[in-house]
Amino acid sequence: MLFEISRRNAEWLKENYDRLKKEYDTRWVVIQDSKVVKSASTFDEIMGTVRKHDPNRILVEYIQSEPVAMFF
Amino acid sequence: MSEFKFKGLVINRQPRISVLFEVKAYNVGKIVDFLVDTGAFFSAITEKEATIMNINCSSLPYSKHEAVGFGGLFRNRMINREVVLTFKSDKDEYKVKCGSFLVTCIPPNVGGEEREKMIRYTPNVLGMDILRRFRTCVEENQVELTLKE
Repeated sequence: MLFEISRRNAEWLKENYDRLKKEYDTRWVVIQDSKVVKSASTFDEIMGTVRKHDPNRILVEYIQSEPVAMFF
Repeated sequence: MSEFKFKGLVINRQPRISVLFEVKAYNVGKIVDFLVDTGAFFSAITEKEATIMNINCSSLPYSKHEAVGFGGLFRNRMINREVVLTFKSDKDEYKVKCGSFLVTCIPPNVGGEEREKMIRYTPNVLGMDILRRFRTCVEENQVELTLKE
């Protein structure tokens, strides 16, 4: 069940990523049940919402339209 | 002969795979999305992920290894308890038991916008310590891990 919820959140994020980039550029979002339930500009701010939810039912993501070069 | 295959998605050009991350000693269990990173020696979760799981990073011991990544220097800590990673597909389940697990932490002297940036761009990584058990195939829209025999 946990995997199914996670999969649904990830698939929804992937399908809607382009729209989210327009609506929530440079913001953190909390995704649950195929919708954004909260957005915030900082991680500390979004954690206030995360604490009120079951962490296994949500996806916390930072949205950014401009590509960032990341090297690991 | 059947193969153990586990699939993930490529989101925003990042190949990610969802894994159940459990620390029984802390009574913690959460699905964690890991970046499939064949360039990383070690797997690690981020301070962000640990915080969401309600693990108090400041109580964890420091690792002897520092880590350099995008955004600067990290100060790694260790979960020195058994961590069980569970990979799951429709048919199969595969568990990896780890004696300890790295947590990439932001040094305490880093604050403000710099700290925020490091949290934003640091992913949980599945490195070669775990990936060596799998054949890894990354395509445009999905990533697939196949367990080696």
